[in-house]
Amino acid sequence: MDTLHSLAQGILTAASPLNLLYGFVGVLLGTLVGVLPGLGPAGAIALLLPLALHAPPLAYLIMLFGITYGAQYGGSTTSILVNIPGEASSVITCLDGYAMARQGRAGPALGIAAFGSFIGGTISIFGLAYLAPALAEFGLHFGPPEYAGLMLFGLTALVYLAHGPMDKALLMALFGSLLASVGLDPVTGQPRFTFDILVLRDGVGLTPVVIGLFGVSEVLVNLRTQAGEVFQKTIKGLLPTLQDWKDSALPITRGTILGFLVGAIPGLNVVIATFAAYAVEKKISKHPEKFGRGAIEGVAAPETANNAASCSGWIPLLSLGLPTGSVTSLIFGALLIHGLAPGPLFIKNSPEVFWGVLGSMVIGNVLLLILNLPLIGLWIKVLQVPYFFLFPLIILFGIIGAYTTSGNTGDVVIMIIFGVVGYLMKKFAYEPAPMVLGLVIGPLLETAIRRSMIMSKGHVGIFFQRPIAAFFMGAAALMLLSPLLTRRRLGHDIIEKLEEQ
Amino acid sequence: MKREIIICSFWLLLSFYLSIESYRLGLSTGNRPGPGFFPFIAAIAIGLIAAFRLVNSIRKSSPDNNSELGIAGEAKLVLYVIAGMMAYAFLLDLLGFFFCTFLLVAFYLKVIAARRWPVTLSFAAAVALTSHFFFDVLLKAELPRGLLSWLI
Repeated sequence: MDTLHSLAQGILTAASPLNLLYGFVGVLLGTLVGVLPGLGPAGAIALLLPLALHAPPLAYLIMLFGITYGAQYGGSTTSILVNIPGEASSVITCLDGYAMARQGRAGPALGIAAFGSFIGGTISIFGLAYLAPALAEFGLHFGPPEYAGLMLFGLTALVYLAHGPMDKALLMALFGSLLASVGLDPVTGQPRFTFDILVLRDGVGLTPVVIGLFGVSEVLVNLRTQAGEVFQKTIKGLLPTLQDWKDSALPITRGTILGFLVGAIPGLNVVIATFAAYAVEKKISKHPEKFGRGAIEGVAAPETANNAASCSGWIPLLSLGLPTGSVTSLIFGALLIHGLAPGPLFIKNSPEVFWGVLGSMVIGNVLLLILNLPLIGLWIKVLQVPYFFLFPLIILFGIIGAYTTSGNTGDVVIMIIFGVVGYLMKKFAYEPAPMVLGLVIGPLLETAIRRSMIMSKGHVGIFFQRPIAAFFMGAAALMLLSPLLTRRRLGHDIIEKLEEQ
Repeated sequence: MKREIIICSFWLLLSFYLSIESYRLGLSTGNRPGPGFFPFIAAIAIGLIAAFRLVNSIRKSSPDNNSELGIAGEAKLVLYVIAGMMAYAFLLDLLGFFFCTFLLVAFYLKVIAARRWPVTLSFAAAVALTSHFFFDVLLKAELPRGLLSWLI
């Protein structure tokens, strides 16, 4: 009852005119970046990070969260209409969504994607509201060794579940942690790796790095992108028929449950949730041969799962302060900019922010449902804007974002350098997410390890003598070492097979 | 294989340099880990992984497929984009936000997108004006005014 009361209060807070405006802008921007191939929610959030210095904390966070789930809605539009997934989480929707569009059923496909997303997202918010505070209570027992274990576990989980080779992902995570060491030592104040460059004394800023990695590098990779060719330009009959609803009811239910569970586990992400939901539906269907040829279940299940997972994916961050990917790392950074320390005490110390953000998610999902179906015509037009008009704007926003963080062109140069680094990483198949996570939690991990070792007078045994810390350390070691023994990663071959499909 | 050897060598060199620097910073002071402790461990781990990858790539010795990278075809465009941004960064304080933005967008549209002058100039002017109004006037972001400081 307390939870429902708090959530109701959160909805009221989020419904204030200012918060509503920021929420509206967030979901609209999110849908836009979801529609536009080449700039994902991470890039959009990176470009908007500098705004944190000017905007009210709650309203600003509401906007950033809005971008993340708005992008899930937008991504499905391009998958269905153009067969180009705006987001990785919409890849699987292309199979049946685009097939439906070719059969003249783009309307019901878009409609069921929007309704499924709404249902999955909303139910997942209630799950988040109940689970996150309980997990945070548990997190209150954590000391520095437990935190060190938890952060190592989170980092290792992301590395373990990386798409490419694990050693490459681990390299990136370590490189990110090393980047985090640049600047003044948090304990002694001694400069580290600054090379007497003034801008490096404060460390390598998260904002210019992520704008470079996610914004600039995307532009460099997509320079030869052409505007999308829309198969069905006039969309009619957006409301699914009764038969469509009958076919989709159970896939939506299963997609919600699966998406919520997968999203809540650190390391697993929205993309995996969509592939798993699709695989389950195909497996249990009486007509698996229809999948890939325009089965509405093949749209309903993954689209529901991606929104459910995108909401439950906040549980580790909001309850334990554990970012699990690039987007959550960026939000983690945004919370820190506002002086809100993510961790077990976050809900207790900043309840208005926690419940306000959750309330805004409920409102945001309603807004998206109301807005998106009528706005589909607009998104089709956006898809046809040539990329050469878009990329100068993305670059410009990136430069402004990097510059306004500190008022120093040195940060713009850092952004450019990491734009090139990001471009090369994409070309050589290195993932940016572990690097960003390493950069974000690097200082926290270092402080936790050093505090633990001060507590134990220099003995590393402290990480294995306390049960919770030992559990996290054991799980991290298992994930790191098991592929050496078994030559495979649990579930990884399944994910690869599904992605190939 | 050659490509992988170059990449692994880069990581190994980086690891070598950073581990020496971290050691110089100090690994411990008494029972307390020093400022170099954490970066030292990270640098050593990077070196070990790079060495593992290097040995593996030499053992497997699969041929490179440079065409898969697709860098050659777009290298010129990428260089133009980076050059534009670098010029922007170095001229920002001198010329100011408005002029730099106009020049950057015009450069991209003319050189990379090969648009005609009327389209290039009108779009660049529209972006410069709109962004000046939005960021400078409306959001009051402190952007350099440079040459136009007497006017705006």
